[in-house]
Amino acid sequence: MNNILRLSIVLTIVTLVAAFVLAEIYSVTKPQIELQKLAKTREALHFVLPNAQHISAVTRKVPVRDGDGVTLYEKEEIMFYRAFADPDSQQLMGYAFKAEGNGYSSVIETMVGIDTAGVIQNIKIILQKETPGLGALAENSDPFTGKKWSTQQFVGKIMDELKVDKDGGDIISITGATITSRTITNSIRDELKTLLPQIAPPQDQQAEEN
Amino acid sequence: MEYGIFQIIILSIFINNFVLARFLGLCPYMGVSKQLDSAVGMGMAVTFVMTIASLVTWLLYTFFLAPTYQNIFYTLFSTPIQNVPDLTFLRTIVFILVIASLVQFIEMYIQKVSPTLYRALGIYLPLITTNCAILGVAVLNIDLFFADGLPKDSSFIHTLVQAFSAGIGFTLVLVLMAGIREKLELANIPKPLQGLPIAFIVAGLMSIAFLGFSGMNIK
Amino acid sequence: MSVMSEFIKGIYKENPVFRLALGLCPVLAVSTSISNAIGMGAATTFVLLSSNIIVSLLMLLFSKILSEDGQKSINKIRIPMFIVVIASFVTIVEMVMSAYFPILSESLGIFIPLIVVNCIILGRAEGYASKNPLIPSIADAIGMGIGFTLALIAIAFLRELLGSGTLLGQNIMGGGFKPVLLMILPPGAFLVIGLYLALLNWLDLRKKES
Repeated sequence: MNNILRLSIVLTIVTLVAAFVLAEIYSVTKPQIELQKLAKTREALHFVLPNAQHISAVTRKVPVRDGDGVTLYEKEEIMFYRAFADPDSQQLMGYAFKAEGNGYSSVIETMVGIDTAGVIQNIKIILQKETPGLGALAENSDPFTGKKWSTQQFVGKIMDELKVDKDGGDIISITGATITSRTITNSIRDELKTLLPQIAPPQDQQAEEN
Repeated sequence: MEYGIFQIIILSIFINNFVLARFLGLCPYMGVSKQLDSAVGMGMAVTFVMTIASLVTWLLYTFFLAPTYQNIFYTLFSTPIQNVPDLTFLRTIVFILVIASLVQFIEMYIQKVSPTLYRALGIYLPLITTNCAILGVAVLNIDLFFADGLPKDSSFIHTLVQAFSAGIGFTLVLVLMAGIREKLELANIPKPLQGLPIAFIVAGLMSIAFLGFSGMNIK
Repeated sequence: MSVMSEFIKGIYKENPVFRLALGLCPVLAVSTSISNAIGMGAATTFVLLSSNIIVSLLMLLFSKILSEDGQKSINKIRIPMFIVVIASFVTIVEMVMSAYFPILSESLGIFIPLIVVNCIILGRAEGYASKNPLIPSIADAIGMGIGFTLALIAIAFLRELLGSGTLLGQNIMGGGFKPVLLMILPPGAFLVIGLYLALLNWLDLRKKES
């Protein structure tokens, strides 16, 4: 028994030393990891709204509840972004939002930029784990040839035009990846449907510097 | 992605089979699939370890490592939820130590209860610790059933279902492989391909067959 | 055995993947592209090297400060101790990767934490570093690591070339080439490694006959 106790203590000491070293390294890398996440969003925003001089997020407070439905606290959730042509946030030139949908083998997240009339400026797939060589080709943003899928084909479209060819619309789907194509198209359309009525009156929302 | 229990079962056994689609659990897959009996025994042992390990790691993660509402710092010491320490970086160490201890206990148990099975499994029993499938499913449980550090709805049940189904899927593929390899022993295979090479090629063919499941619409 | 021979053996004669059949899971999962292969190889080699060093030093320390009996009891908990050491370095790799190499981190996915169960690492720690002095342990680790990386690259070379038509992201096969999708899907991995193993067996048989 005594031996087991001694061995357990040695093992515990080794583990504690390891945990301490790791905690130190974690405190160094954690801020960088957070920065990476923000950088990715910022990069997508600038891609879909290249002429924006200033982008700010519009958020709302969402209650976080525990298992019994009791509200514990409120979390800030980003609803969409407002883009301004000038650094002083006077000239509203468009909006950006994230569309999400269940693809073939993963959740697909798309960043979409629109102007004040709701016409799509550009889109960027920011998260997907679809089949390599098929659905994964959705990220392709090469100049649109009219025969192959490209995210460029969304440029200039409005909400009602967002349907894949298989559903009778103009969006050319990826050959062999109908589900992926449909998910992206429909998720953008659905998010637009929810968002467009909310976008109109800016004075009702809380704005946050981004 | 929101999953139901049925979907998780089908996903883990067929569509995302842990061996043929996720590449987890290959060492025992190649090593123990030569005979049907040891394949079944290994499959059961792995399923059991997977389920128990997933259960324990889920509990440790939820109650000690992640800043959840069940975290003991929150429930016992009343630290405000934003200040609960985020120990998720200790996940890898804690999980692998749990798995190593579990396998140790199970080894002792099997040795006592069924010495024949113990001898049949041989070196592969302690090797279950390094079976990527066990740690793999534990990590996958966290990735799939936690969002922003908090458990999703029914996270616990989903974790158990996924772990058990993953084990079943592993056993299924192991048994299929053993059946094929037993027959292959009698076939005339060119020398360079004998042993591991032909086993891998068979696995490749099985993988193609299982690819067919990925078209299944389970919604 | 000279330090050089310890180093060389890991590359061909005792190649961990093709000869010892160790570390198969990450090899098959991550070999979809050469860049992934190099990333995984580098991460694994780092863990292998670091843990071999620490394990060799630790066992040396114990042999110096402990009695016969003390050493015998430490032997009982050496495996869990090695596991803690290896797991710590893997955690360091996890943190550094998500902080500074987010794209690679996302491609390699769960196989980064799974480095801890890569049989090569525990195998070398227990089978070599715990019984040998520091310098040969370092040579062994680097040799095995390079052997592992080379095996990964060999498989990734075929899978990326035939499955995507590219090498390191550069389009090699040209526009007319229709990629063999199967190569980057799971079956491709099994088939390629099966063929490589058969090739090695064939070379061995020929050497025996001559």
